[in-house]
Amino acid sequence: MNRKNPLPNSNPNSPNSSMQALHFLQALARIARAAPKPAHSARTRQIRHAAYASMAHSSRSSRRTWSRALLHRLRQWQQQRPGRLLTVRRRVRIVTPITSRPEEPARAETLRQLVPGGRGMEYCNLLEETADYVQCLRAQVQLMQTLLDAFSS
Amino acid sequence: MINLFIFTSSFLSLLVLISGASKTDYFTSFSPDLPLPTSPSPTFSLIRDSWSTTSNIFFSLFYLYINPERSTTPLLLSSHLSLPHFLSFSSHHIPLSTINPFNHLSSLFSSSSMDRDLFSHIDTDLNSISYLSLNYDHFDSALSSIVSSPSAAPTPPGPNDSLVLRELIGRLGTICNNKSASVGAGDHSANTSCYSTPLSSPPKSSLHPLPNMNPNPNPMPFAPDPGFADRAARMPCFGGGPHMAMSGQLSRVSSSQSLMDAGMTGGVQLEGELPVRENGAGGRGANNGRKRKAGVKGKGKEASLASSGTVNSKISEEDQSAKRCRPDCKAGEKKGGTEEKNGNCSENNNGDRENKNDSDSNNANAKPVEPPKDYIHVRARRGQATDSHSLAERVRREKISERMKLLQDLVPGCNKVTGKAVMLDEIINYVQSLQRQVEFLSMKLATVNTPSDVNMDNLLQKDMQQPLYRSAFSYPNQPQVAPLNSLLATNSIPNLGMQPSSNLPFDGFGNANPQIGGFWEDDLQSVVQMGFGQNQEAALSSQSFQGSGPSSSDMKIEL
Repeated sequence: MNRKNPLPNSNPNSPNSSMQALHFLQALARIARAAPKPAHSARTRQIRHAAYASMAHSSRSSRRTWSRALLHRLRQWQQQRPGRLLTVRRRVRIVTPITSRPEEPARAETLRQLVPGGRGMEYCNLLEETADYVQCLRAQVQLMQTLLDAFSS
Repeated sequence: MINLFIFTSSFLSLLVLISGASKTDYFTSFSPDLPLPTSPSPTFSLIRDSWSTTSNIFFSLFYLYINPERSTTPLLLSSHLSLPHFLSFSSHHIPLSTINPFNHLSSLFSSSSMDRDLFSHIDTDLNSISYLSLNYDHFDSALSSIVSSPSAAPTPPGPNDSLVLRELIGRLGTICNNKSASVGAGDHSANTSCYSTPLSSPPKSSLHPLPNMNPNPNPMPFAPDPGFADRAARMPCFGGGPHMAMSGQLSRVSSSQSLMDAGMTGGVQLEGELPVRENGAGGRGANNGRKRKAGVKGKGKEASLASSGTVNSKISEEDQSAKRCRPDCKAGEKKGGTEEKNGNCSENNNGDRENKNDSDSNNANAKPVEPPKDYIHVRARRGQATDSHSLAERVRREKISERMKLLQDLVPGCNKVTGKAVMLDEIINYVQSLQRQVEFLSMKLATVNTPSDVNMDNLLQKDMQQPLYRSAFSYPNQPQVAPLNSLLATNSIPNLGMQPSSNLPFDGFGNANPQIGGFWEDDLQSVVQMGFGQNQEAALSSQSFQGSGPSSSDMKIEL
C-alpha cells in the first residue's frame, strides 16, 4: 500500500504539513505545561520525541512504513525513558539476508540504519521511503526553525 | 583464353559425370543466363544455388590449376568462397572498398576476358559475386538436389557423390583460409596469426569430417570461416549495424558456435579444425568481447551467419531467423518466438562469452538489451537468468533509477552529481544532517521554550498568525493556520484574550485536531483578524507577545 505513492506530495495546500505542525505544537504545549520542569536534557529529549511523533502522525506519512517504525521506536524510547539509561534495543530481524543484496550499493546498509524501518525493506522500497522520510524531516525542521525564530524574536 | 575455356568446360564435364547425365540438363538449363537474384524465393535460390555452386567449383578449381603458385589466387578463391557466407544474407550492397579481394577477383576475371556469363557477372558488379557466393552457400543443397532430383526442395546432405566435391571445396577453403587469413585481414593481424596457426594443419583435416558431415546435426562452420567472418564483420550491410572487425571476429567464433548449436545441418564441416581455431580466437575474442558495448547482438548475428552460412542448407532459415531475431533482440527479448530464434539472440548477445566453451545455445543472456546506463554496473551472467528474470531485473532497475531521480530532486545539491553511489552518499549525508538539525533545534526549543503559560499563549497566538507559517514554510501554511484559527473561532473569541491560561485553547486544539484540515483561507483570514484583534486587546504580560505583536501585524500585512 505504500508503493502506490512514489512521488511525495508537494502540494502546498496539503494537510500534511498542517497536521504535522499541529501535532508538534500540541506536544510542545504539553511539554511546556508539564508542571515539574524537567532537566534540560529531559526537555530536549521530550521535544525531540514530540518532533518525531508529529512527523509520524502527519497524514501523508500515516501510510508509510517508516512512520510506523518510527512510532514503534518512539514507544521504545519512551518506555525506557523514566529513570533508566537509554538502552536501544534492536529487534533481531530474520530478514537480515535481505539487507545485503549484491545489487545494492555499499551504502545501502547505512541508509537502512538511518531511515526508520529500513531494515526489512528492499532497496527499491527503501528509496521510496527515504524520499518520503526526507520530505517529512525537512518539514519538521522548518517548523521547528520557525517556532524557534518566533520564540526568540 | 582458350585454355581457360577448355578448363571450364572440362570441369563442367566432370561435374556432369559426377552428377549424372540428367543433371547436365539441369546445369545447362540454368548456367547460361541466370539472372541476378532478386527475390529470395526458395526455388529460385535453389536454382541459383546449383548454378552458382557449380560455377564456384570451376572457378576455384580453374584458378587452382592455372595459378597454383600465385598467392592471389587462393586469396581470390578464399574471398570468393567467403562471400557466400555473409553475402548470402546481405542485401547485395557490398561496398567495394571493403572487399579488396573481390575487386581483385573481378579484375582477374576481367583480365581473363572470359566471355562467359559467369565472369561477366563478376566483372560488372559485386552483386554477381555475392550472388555466386550466395549460391556457394547452398552448395550442399544444390548438390543434393542435383544428385537426387531436380526438385526445388532443399534436401539434407545427399549421397557420397558430393563428398568428392566437398573435399575439394574443403581443401580450397583451407587453402583460402590460410591465404586469406594472412593477406585479407589487414586490420586483424593478430587474428590472422591466431587463425593461421590452426589452419596450418588443415587440408588433411578437411577430408576427415567430410564423411561425417551428412548426418551431423551440428555442422561445423566451413573452414574459411575466420576470413569470411572478418569480411562479414566488415560488411556494413550485415546485421544492419556498425561493427568493428574485432567484434566481428568475436562474434564469428561465437556465432559459429551458436549456429552449430542451433542445429544447422549440412555443409562441409571441419570439426577438427574448428575447435582449434575457435579456441585460438576464443581467448582473444572473449577478452575483446568484454569490452564490447551493447552492439553485440548485431555483430554476433552477422558473424554467425557468415561463419555457418558457407555450406548450409538452412541458410534461408537462418537468414530469416536472424532477421527475426535481430528485431526481437532489439525489442527486448520477447519470451515468445522459436527456440532457435531465442537461442540465436542469446547466442549473439553472449557471443564473446560463449567463446569459452561449447555451451547450449539456449542459455539466455542475462541482460542483452539493457539500456546503456545500466550497462555500467550490471554484469551479464551466463546461464543465470532466463528471459523473464532479466526482464524483471530490468524493471526493477528502472524503478530504482526512477526513485533515485525523485531523491535527487528532494536532496539539494544533487543535480550535478551523477551516479548512484555518489548520490546515495549525498542522500545519506542529507538525512543525517536533517536528523542532527532536529536534535539541535529540539535542544534550542527546550532552552527557549520556558514552561510558562504566557509562552504557551504566545505559542498559540503565534500559531494563529498566518504569516508566521507562511514565511516559515516553503509551501503555504494556510491550511496549517486554518485549523488553529478555526479552533480559536470555535472556541469563541472571548476566550482568546481573556484568559491567560493556555489550557482552554489547547484543549480546543486537542479536540478539534482531526477535523481541521480542510479549513479555507477566507474564513481563516477573518478568524485570524478577529483572533488577532482579540489577542491584542488581551492584557497579556508576556514580553514575547508584545514583541511578536507588531511583527505579526507586519507579517499579516504582507499577506
